[in-house]
Amino acid sequence: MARDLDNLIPDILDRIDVGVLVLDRELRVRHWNRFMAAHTGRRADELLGREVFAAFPELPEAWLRRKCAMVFTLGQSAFSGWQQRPYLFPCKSRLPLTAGLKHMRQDCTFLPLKVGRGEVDHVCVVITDVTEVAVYQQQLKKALAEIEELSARDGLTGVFNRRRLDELLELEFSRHKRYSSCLALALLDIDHFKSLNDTHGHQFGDEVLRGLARSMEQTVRVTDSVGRYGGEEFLIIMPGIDGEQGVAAAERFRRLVEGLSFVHEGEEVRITVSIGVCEVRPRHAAAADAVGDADAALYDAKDRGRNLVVLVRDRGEEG
Amino acid sequence: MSVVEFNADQIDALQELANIGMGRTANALSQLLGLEVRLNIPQVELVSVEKLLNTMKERMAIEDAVATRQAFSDGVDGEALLIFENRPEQGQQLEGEPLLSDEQMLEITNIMVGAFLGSLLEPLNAELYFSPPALVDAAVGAPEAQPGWEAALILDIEMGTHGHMDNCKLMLVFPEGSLQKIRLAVDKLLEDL
Repeated sequence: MARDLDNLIPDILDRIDVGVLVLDRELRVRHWNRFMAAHTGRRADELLGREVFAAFPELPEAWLRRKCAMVFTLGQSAFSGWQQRPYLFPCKSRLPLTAGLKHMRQDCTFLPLKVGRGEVDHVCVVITDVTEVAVYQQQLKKALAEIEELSARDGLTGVFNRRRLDELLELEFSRHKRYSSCLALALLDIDHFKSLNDTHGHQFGDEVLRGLARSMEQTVRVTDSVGRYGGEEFLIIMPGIDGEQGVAAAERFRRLVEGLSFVHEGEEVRITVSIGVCEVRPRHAAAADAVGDADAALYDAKDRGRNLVVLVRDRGEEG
Repeated sequence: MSVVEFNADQIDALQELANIGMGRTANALSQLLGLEVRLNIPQVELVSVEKLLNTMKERMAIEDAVATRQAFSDGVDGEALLIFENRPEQGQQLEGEPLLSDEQMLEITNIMVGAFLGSLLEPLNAELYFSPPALVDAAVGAPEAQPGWEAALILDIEMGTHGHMDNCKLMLVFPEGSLQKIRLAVDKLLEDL
């Protein structure tokens, strides 16, 4: 009975949905199951006895030699995962339509075998198709990136939201403290936004916020971050530039907004903004202190008649 | 809590087995991975799983630290956790490239765990079944304590590569029954001395 079952083992090896091949010490193919034949398109009878690299020149030779050497020398299994090496034998993906992956993703196990007595003299390579896992992983990564992106954006204007803005601010603030690099902040507020809403309606107010946010995002440097800080207030984080350069940038924003034209019920509507600029200094113990200073400068700009950029002056510089 | 007790002699023997295992590991790593490896004598410590998890959390909080895991079963069950600190030697600036690639860390894990457990269980003639090594996703977080997993072995290993010194911690977690088997292996070694 047991003997009959033993005879079935090769049959089982040919029916399981796993690739099994055996290499000898010279890395000649000694076994090649049906999974391998079906997916590589190479039959066992044309491969048996041939060196595996002669039969498959596309194999990563140095790498595979090292893996096998590990098994022969240590007498223990070695492994290779698809995340480090997508596949060993190039096989067509079995999920070509849904997966978008051309090649089957493979996990490989290299098992030590002792056919003779004594030392490990063969290595059995077991190959599992993990394309489906790779696809799920890809989709998961994409979904997580989308969630991350969505949770960082303001729903109305598409620029960074307050939560993300605070994170970015902390990040840039600690970088500034560590490397003593320059950092400037600009707090921007739309002038007379309330009366704009009252006169033209909230939908038009929303359109103004969106238009303003869009043109600001197009204007800032790639290293700058624009976000909606509050209702009609926007914060621009500008790493690597000092107060004077910050004022120049803010002045560009001010003029840009001055040039924007919105149309409501056939009537052209123009808006202006006031901007407070602050260069982060040693006296700012926390990022919030610097924002507070920028806010004070913004109030100053409002007091002085709006449509204006005001820089926070350090103590002693006043006048 | 009933942790399997090891007396001073047994700890010594465990230390001895660890030394042999690390010797083998060093050879294998330099021979097979081309890594210039300096392994010091590992410090073996038997701790509660609670302490192990705390150690692991502390280590994983270090910037650039990477953790790997590998499970083993059949005879002795357990899980090995390795933490690579990927830390440059003092005075050396770490720029861009990590010291070890993910693939290298997984290979080191496999070799180290295999060689160490091989030495540990040699007196018992046991051959283990190993699962593939994997990276521990930092986003998923450190493993939680499972009931029945009561004791752990911690090995502190300094491993140098390419002029850098990586502090690498190998931790083995065992359910109680498996730790008893390890004590058996240690006793067998002590008898043979």
